[in-house]
Amino acid sequence: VSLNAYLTLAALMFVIGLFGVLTRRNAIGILLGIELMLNAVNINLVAFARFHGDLLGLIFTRSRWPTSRWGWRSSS
Amino acid sequence: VTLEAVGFWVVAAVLLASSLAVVLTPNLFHAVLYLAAVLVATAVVFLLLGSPFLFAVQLLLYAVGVMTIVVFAIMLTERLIGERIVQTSRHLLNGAVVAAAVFVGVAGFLIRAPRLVPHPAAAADATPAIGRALVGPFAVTLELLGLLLVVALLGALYFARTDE
Repeated sequence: VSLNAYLTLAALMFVIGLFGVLTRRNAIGILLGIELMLNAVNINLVAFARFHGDLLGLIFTRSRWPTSRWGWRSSS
Repeated sequence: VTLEAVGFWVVAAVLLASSLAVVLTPNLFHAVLYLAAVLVATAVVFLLLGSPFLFAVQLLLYAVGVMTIVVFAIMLTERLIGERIVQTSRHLLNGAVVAAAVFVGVAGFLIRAPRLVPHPAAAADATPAIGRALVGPFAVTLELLGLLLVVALLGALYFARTDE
């Protein structure tokens, strides 16, 4: 299974979540759409971590905090 | 066709079908249950990507913790207002057009991206390394995360306050 397969899956899930956020009328429905989008992003991060051999994606998924600019790599 | 490929396509189908059900079903309670299915399927995707630690965290925190809270919130709210909450949607066409446009934009990047093979070094269990990194190079990040949780807690208190 290639990286692109995972990224396409995550992209589809993200746009489904976006559709939910745009169309739902109450707050809980919008929240569920946002959850879908967040999980799609997490799949992307873990997939990149796996295919680059870099722990940063796993930590980012764990904490969802913008740390990527620190440029720390576990493999080097 | 390897076992990983079969697992991936099965999980992908379940994931996308459940995601569509979350945003389309009119019953709010069913939508939350479908979201639970989405979260479990996401955990299986993490497992396929060789990350058993995130698989466990996803199941514990999301599929159990967050789901319990959301279900409780819905049941208590329905009890308070005394009627079933019905999910309604609006601007279905506009939403579909915007979502499709975003996907086409992302797919344009994906088509041009180079093909990568899985990194061999990432196959080992990364849990100790994640733990060390969280108290080492990412200690400040971890503290900021705690601060964020406190802010969220204060926000919840603010919303739950009684009117004086």
